[in-house]
Amino acid sequence: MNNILVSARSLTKTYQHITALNNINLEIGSGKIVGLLGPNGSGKTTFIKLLCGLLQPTSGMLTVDGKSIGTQTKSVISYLPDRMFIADWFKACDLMEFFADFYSDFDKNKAMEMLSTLGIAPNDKIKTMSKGTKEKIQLAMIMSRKAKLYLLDEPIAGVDQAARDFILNTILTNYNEEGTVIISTHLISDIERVLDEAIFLQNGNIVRYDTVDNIREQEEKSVDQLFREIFAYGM
Amino acid sequence: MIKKLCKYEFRSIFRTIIPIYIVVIAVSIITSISIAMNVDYADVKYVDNSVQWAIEMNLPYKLQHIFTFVMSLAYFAVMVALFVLTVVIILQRFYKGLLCDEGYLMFTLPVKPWQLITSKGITAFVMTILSGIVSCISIFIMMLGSLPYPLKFLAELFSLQNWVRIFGQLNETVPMWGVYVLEFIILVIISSLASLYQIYASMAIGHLAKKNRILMSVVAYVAISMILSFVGGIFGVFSALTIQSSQNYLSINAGEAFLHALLIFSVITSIIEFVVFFVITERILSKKLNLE
Repeated sequence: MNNILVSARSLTKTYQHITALNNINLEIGSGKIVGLLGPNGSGKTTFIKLLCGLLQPTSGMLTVDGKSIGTQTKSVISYLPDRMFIADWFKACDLMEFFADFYSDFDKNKAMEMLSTLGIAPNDKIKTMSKGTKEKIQLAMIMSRKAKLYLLDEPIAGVDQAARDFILNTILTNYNEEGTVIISTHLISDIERVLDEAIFLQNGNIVRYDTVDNIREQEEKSVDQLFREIFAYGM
Repeated sequence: MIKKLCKYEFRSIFRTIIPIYIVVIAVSIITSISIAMNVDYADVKYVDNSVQWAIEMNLPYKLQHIFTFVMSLAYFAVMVALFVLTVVIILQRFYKGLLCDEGYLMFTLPVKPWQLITSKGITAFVMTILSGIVSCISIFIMMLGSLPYPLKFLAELFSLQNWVRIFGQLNETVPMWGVYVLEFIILVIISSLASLYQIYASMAIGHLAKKNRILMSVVAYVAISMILSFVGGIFGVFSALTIQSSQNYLSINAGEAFLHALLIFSVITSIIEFVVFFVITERILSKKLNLE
């Protein structure tokens, strides 16, 4: 349980004049569900993009499973960006074939099962699907992998309560329990019940990183309440 | 991995380009037939072709002639469309497929950026060759339609004897023709790859800008082209001067040697361009990637 999956040392990312992440040091273990919490612009997406290799750090070190970011880490990371990332001419079956081709940990049967629960036929075109269905099919693909690290960037932003429940249930029932799930969000109350740990980010700094149990015990308040206190002025 | 990347890339490209290939061939066949019906074979010996065409243009009330005229316009339009679509797909598959939202999927695959860039290059190159072949086929079909004796022409084209004779004559007059052809083919391949990767490198450079990335890509492309023609111009002047000063030593074979040198020199400069563009693209997408 205590083996370190993600390790960041003096991790800094600056865009021209803006410091998105400022000298981050942290270690995240395996088998946990971690909330990456903070208001917009606090560096959540930057941290996730660094982890999945979409950005290069300005300075510092970042490893996943003991390896610096590259093809080896990409093969064990399952990443859900905050936007549509699949070509719209794909059919559902093309998408499954694509994931199976590039990720050896992709479970096609599981994906088929999830799609049939969603009422998506293999020959359905992505183009003809509604925005909500598109998001769900992406999530289904991501969660059909037996990855070591799941990175979910704002998976529940901009969807209704029913969809939120569906998304959280999908994540909870399908993730690889030896792996870690990092969920970034600014909507804490919906997600608090599923979290083991919480990372609070503000202006590129980690203001607190603790287990949810500790936070509740020490502060005698929920993560959501703590979040509101910490970011009362930052928001 | 490159093979797998190419598989999906080809699927995406063929989805758009195959229909236009079919349309081009269909329109050329129809146009070719309508042209063939219009040729007044009895008068071929007496009337010049260009005059024949003018006469037909003056008879628009003949339905057949109008049809031919419309089909010829359509043919011209689909050929332009083929060219434009080929270029657009090259641009779009790189820009939309790597530098926009789809990039979130492609750059998180367990593949190296150079593999992504290579698969884009291979597939775009194959598509360009296919578009070229389709254009040649369509021109050939049109030619058959306008010939008074298309069948005789085909028979002669496929007769082995003719080819033996042609190559025999070629061997006599230009013994080195095979080398020229080889050099020329290599030059065409390498220089098209260089032009392809000039487009990719320009888009990668444009990606470095914070905003107006498309505009900056165009600016980068124009700037690179200007630098290339400037450097090419300097080389041209130098080589002209060198040739002039060494004119005393020129032998009879000098013309031929010069042609070889020119071809090989062009191949080498194209290889350098290609490598430089590839490395620029790879470095930027590896180190400076910043998807919106």
